[in-house]
Amino acid sequence: MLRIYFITAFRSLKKNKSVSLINIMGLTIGLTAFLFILHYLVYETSYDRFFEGSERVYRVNMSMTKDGASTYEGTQTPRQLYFALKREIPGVEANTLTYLERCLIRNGVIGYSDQNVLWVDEGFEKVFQLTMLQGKADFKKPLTGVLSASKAKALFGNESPVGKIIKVNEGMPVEVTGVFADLPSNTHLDAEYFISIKTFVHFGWIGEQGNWNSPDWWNYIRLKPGVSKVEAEAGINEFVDRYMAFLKKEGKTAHFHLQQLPDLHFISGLENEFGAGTNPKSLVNLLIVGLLTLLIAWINFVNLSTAQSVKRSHEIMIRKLIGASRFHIWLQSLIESLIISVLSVALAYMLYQVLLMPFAQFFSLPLEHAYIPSGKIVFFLAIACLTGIVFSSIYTSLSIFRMGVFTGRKDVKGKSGFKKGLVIAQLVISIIFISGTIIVFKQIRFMQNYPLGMKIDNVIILSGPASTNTQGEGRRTKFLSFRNEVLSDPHFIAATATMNVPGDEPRWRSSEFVRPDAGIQPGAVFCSNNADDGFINTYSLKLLAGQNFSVTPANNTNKILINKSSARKLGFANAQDAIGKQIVPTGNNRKPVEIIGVVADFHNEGLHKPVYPMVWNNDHPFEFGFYSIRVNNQNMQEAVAQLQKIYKRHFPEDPFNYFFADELFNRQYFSEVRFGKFYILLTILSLSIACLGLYGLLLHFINQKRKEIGIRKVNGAQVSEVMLFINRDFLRWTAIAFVIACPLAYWAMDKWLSNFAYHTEISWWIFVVAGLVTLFITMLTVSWQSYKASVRNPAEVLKCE
Amino acid sequence: MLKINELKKVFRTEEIETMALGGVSLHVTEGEFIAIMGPSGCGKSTLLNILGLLDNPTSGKYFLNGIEVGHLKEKQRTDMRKGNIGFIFQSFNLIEEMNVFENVELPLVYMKVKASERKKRVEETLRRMNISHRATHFPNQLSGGQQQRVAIARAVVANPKMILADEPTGNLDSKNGKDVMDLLSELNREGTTIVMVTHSQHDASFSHRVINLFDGQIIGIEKKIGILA
Repeated sequence: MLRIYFITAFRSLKKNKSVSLINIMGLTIGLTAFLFILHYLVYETSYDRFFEGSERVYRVNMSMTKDGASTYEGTQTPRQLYFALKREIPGVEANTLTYLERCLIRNGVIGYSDQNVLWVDEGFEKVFQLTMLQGKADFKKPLTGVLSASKAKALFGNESPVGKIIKVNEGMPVEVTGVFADLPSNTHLDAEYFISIKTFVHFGWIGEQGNWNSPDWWNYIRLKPGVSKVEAEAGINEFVDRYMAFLKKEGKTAHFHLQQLPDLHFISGLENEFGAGTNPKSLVNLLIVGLLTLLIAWINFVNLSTAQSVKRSHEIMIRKLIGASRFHIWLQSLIESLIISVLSVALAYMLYQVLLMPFAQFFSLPLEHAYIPSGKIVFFLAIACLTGIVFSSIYTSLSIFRMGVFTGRKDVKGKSGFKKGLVIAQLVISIIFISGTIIVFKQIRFMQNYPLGMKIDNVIILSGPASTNTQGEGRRTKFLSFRNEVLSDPHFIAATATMNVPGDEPRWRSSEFVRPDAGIQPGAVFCSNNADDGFINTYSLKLLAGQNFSVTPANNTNKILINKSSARKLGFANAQDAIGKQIVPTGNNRKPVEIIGVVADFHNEGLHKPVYPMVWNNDHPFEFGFYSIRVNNQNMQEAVAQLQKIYKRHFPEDPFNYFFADELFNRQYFSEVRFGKFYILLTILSLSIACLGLYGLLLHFINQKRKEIGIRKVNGAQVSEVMLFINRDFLRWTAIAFVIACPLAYWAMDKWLSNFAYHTEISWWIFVVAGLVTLFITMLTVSWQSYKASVRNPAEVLKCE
Repeated sequence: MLKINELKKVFRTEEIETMALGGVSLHVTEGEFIAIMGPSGCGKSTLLNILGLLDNPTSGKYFLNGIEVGHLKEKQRTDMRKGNIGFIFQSFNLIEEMNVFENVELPLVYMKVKASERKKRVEETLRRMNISHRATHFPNQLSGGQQQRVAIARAVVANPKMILADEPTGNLDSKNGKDVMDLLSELNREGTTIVMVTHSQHDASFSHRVINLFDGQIIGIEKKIGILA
């Protein structure tokens, strides 16, 4: 019996080639887009899940409050916590202490700077299992480490690195004891070298035990099976009273939170997150967009299927006469849906396989070496398809039943209100996407052209040299000597060494200062940075009052520069008032510092964030900071070459790693640019699918109105009048869609723009352009067919009828 | 075989009410061949639809093989039609996507007859209708006469007790029309009850009785049995 259904379904699809093709194309486009989105969502939600038992692994985060106000919300915790976890929490199966650092790694003349090194202890392997390709990890000993296969290849070529020495930063010799298989790209552990943290103790940089005061470390735990997060958290928080009583004296309280491993890459607004790059909200939005795309495709499918079933009502009537029940008709419809869907799924899957990597490149997504449980993709695809198939066949059958074929009524035209509604819905979505694309790019343009209060063009930034790491004040001396040579070269006009550079999140975001003379305690709201006397000139900042740092570092002891926002926070009526005043950093034995200068506010980070209070002291940056150099002329290539020569003379062991300040700053808008690209693609997709749907409906409409068109022509209608007769419905639908889409698009865009502290306006012309583009494309889609129908000889049509 | 009493059918729209059948009573015995005649719009097709269980009457009673079927639900009507009633139309109404064999086979598929049995019965019926050589052809590859023979084959393949024919020769030339009427007569002689709507006096002459309808009422019944015998 099924055989006959399949045979007739195939023949019917073959007979209605154009509609079948439109249907398959529409569904294929929609499914391909859905598959891409699904792949990306699976990628994002599979972070770190390749680690066995990942759901039992947690990072311990910490928050601190003072008088109810937050003073710290961060991912780093004290080192003593590590020992207490091991000793006192019975639910902990294993735990590890880690520290992330950007390092210079060298093997002879081959060296790479800015390499992410994770310093770890011997518990690391029990928390995170690495697949060792050669040798094994030995984190119990200092000066040993393992590296990833790709780094082993980069540093040692085809030789085995096991037993060999790599030099870290200033030349610290670390023995490679093993090589591990590269971690998939979707891990928050953004490091390719794991080196024993015992090295720190070995050199005496830290003691054997550590303390409870300094939250500088990342603590991870693996819970025993069956131990709940709440249970473990309760145990860990008992440490606050037991070991951190000193906080009470400062009026502070602390709390520890466990964050599960697969969630660590989601941005949670905590300080010093590493590997966190995804906003979970954006994933929800993406899921909605994916489902909408799929919905458009299915709407199209249903629309065309019902249009076809109107055409086939006669055949359905015959089937009914010779014994078909409603079930049989539904089954027939289901099988036809099934065939189209299976063909579309197969095509979409092929396209997905072929286009995935170009897609990933277009969006700069690291999908190539990712951990993707493909079973999940197949599962969700199957669910999406089955739901689509069943619902569309039910809807198609219901529309057949409604046509009266089963009740003996002769009304076989069916109700088209719903169908029109579906087409309008497609157009609404298209208009929203078009206006969305425009606003995204308008905002990107706005951000790129917004006056930042500083100048970042013609500034070259170098990664600070790591080879001088342990030379203490010698690092500054070397920098000054480097800077002297740079400034003696006519290519360059200013240079500075800072801990962080504009566009880079400040390392210290919760510094706390009080102003004893006025009793003002603004709380932990200051971002602090290291800078020197070259800072103001290099970034062309405006000094509002006071003076710059002295060229002689010794004169700058306990002196700071602040920005206008800080002055305001500290209760100074104007910049001048702040000059010469002393403020005190909180904490143990902190000395008062004197404000010697106030600079005008500038945007240290992108326009997502408001301008914040900033403070600079004259310490030389450690771990290794950045050297920023302002170039005098436009010949960047020449300037870079010249700078490289000077750098190599002063830091021969360090790779010359440079980038441009404006590029770095604009990199903050990378996700917006990606979002914009994504919107363009979605717009194209939704418009294509909507056009296919419109085209299919048009064919159906013309088919239905063939006789009427003939009669109109016989009675003197011009081609243009007939075209208007055919096109007017499509015009009306576009107009209705426009009216519905405008407020929706406005609402969505307003919501999106609220993510930015500074944003562009939603201008009226955006909607006009989106409406006109949709109208133009709609008319382009329907006009050729309606023209063909209008110029047809009416005699032929009427003879047939 | 079938009996109808005071059958009425009213079509209502928002504005008007049309009485298609205004109290028709009729008794057809098993093995009879009935022709229904009358001008366009007199209610012939409405009556045939009700007799064929495609529609329910507004009021009145309809007994088929002694069972009241006038107010059955859609599903019950479908079940009742299966294997009991065969349909033949003026425009043949074959499914274009199916070849001759598949068209004839379809009623048996819906009756869940086994494939081997279906094959046997379809082949036998096609042979009988003298159309076996066209079994793999599609409707648009056949002449009108051939298409109607396929339609008759489809109507009889399930051995229905009654065949309802709506102007079966209306789209055929006289030669093919005669062949179709000969086939129907033969089926009737073998015991199948036939109710046929026609405009043609010639076709009506093959029947035992002619029912004349006008404005939804029977205005006369003509017995032909003597003439044909």
